[in-house]
Amino acid sequence: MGQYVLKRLLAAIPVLAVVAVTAFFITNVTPGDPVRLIVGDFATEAEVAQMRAKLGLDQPLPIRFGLWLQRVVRGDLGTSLFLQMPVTHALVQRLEPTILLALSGQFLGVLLGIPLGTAAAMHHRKLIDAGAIVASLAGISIPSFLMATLLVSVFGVQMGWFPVAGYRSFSEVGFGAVYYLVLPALTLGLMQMAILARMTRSAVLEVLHQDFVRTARAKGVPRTSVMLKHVLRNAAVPIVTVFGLSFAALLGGTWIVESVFAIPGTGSLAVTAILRRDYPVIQGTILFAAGIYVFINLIIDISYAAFDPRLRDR
Amino acid sequence: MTRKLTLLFLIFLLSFAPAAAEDADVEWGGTLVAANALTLPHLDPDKTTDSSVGQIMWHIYEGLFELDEEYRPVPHLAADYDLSDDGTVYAFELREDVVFHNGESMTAADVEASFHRYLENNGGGQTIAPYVEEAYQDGDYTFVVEFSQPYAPFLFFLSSVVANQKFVVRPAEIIEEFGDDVITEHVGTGPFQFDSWQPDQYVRMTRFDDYAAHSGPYFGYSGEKQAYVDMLEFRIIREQSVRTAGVRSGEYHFADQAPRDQYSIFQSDAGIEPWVVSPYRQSFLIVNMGHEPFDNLQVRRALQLAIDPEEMGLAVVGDPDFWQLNPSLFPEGHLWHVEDAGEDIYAQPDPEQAEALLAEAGYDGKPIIILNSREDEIESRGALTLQSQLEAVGFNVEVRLLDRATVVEQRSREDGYHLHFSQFLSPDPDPQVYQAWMGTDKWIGNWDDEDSRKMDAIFEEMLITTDLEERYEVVRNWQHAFYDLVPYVKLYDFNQLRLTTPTVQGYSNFVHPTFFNVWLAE
Repeated sequence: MGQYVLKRLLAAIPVLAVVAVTAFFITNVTPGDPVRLIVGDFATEAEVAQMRAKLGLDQPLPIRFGLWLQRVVRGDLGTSLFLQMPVTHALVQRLEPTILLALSGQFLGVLLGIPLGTAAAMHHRKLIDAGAIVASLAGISIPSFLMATLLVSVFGVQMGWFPVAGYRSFSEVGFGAVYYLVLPALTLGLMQMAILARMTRSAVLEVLHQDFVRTARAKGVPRTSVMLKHVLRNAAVPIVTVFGLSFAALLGGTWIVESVFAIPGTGSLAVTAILRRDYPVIQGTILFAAGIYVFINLIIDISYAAFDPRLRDR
Repeated sequence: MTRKLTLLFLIFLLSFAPAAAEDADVEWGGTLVAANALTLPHLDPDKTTDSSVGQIMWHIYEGLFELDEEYRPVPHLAADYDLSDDGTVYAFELREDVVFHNGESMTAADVEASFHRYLENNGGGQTIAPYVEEAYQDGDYTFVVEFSQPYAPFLFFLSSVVANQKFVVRPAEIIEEFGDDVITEHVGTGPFQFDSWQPDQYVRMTRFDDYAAHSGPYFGYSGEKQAYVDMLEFRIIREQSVRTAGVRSGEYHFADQAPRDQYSIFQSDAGIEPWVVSPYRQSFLIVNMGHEPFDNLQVRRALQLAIDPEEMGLAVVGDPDFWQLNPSLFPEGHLWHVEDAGEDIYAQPDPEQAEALLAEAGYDGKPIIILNSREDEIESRGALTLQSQLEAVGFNVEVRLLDRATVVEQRSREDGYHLHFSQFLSPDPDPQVYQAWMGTDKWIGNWDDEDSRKMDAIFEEMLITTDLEERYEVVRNWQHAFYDLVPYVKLYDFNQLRLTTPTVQGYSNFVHPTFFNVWLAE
């Protein structure tokens, strides 16, 4: 098992290297000049040149790439051109809201999606199944900004139950932070629910018709036990894959929800950085997102072995 | 005798009546939450051209001078000043009652240290610096600045509300500690003192109980200011719909940049107080005079005659409550407003004459590039409206709407654009700031001919004319020359919409959202 994990870790290196090269060059060849945004509208050409030199942006692209790569290998993602702080610091500062948001969205997604998908499969082609299909189609089709706006106007403005936007960290207000997370987490959760419910439904449907399930039932194993021990466990591999990938997508793709709810996470950091061409931050957030994907894929692969003993020896 | 004494006593009481009545209304305490669409890189207004930093931090920091309601500089941390007869030496007498948020009194040493940092770091200071010979303290409460020549815009720059121009005073030890680096320890003299900043979340400030208020009439940042609320929290909310929803739900007391198209809905909503901010900004069309066809004055005049600012205001801004025609480069009521600027030219489109001028100038039909940001609706809608107006007189037009970072890069190239919309703050403190924008090879105009040198000469005269009445005549000449030489085309002035909840009392509608003398009636 240890060797398997090591192999997977080594395989991650070329992936991250390709991402690093692509992120650097795409970012740097995109039109737009951060220096002119920093010095302001009315700076002289001399001031522009001075700032460009100060930020090291006057160097040829390959040299800048070499310098950046040297630092990245040592774990230093550089310093933000605008925030006047190291990129790793900016990322760490904004990681808490993104992780909490993604976790709570995923939690709601699992809490609603897996039972819904299972129920739909168990009542295949009945009313519950149709209801689940409609709910999951709605969850996937409604864009998150629309869902967010609807939730804010109903539960924030009309009912006044939750804040319309904003974020408070746990260190600041303790469990009061949950109050700020409910609406954004629900926005993400409904989307996750839809994805997980659909996958659970089809995976469970496939397993339900297998011989071992029929045998278990014929032996008189209680229905709940059949579902939990035989069906769901065997359907787990595709569900876990979707769970993991959708969670990775959540971590890297919460930016719309972060923007609508004014949550200072990594998504809003990346968007602001792109708008003002803050190269080190853009590169850092892309590398970070890629790292998350690689890490979660690794976890998924390891978890396969937990669910399917046949995979342990491979 | 007793009746006389009673009468005197009554007169004495009456003389306090208005103030007492005003004070009786005021409620102290509470937290005022203001939702703003800000991007704060840091909180040092001397180190950024982002106007949002100043808007927030000028609740904490104060200027030696601030602007009164005619946008005339008035002493604020200074008590008075004296200008030498040759117009080169300013001696400032400082107020002796000013206390910093760290408890120490403000002296000339603090002003001197702050001023030297201002000259080195602040955009306004850097503009002034080449003319400053010496700046020094003369005793504990006198500060002297000596210029190499008369420098008329000095006090206007010191009190400017434009980003990166105002001079604020900080303790000398803070200046010594941070030098030219971004200041992260915020000690000022204002009614609010710094509490905390969470990037992209909020900036919080609390009432400074030992604040020594100025006694003059209040306007903007000048005069008698007071912090009635215990805490002022600027919440950073970039989504317009969320700011508006927050005021509706009562979660925020204030929202900046509300949707103008919902003005009538807000007016009929008892839970919302809408504020139309005027003067706010003016819209200009910037002309690239570095190459054909706009290096030709005749083509620029054709451009001026082709544009209908009234149609543009209606198409771009819409509701007439939010825009107005104004030929002057300063709003009505402003010290530098010129009533007869652009007479017979401004907002009098004449497509036939424009077409004739264009033919006479030999315009060859090469495409005119209008370059603008697609994120800003005033700019993007303006570009599309302008396209149809220009095509109607024979210009061949191509509209390029890109993201701001790309626009900024492309417009800096001499061949990167022909026309570009820009917005300037309407109540600019001084016409001299336009020297950096229009004149020989200034900003992105690429203007370099006899006409640009005529414009330079006007600005040079403006710079050394310290007498206000004489300077007004120079400013008047400049605004007339603006219409003769057409370096830009003035379009219209436009306003902003802000919202408060009915609990917000004492709010005054200034170009920046300010929360002095504001209380919460809960």
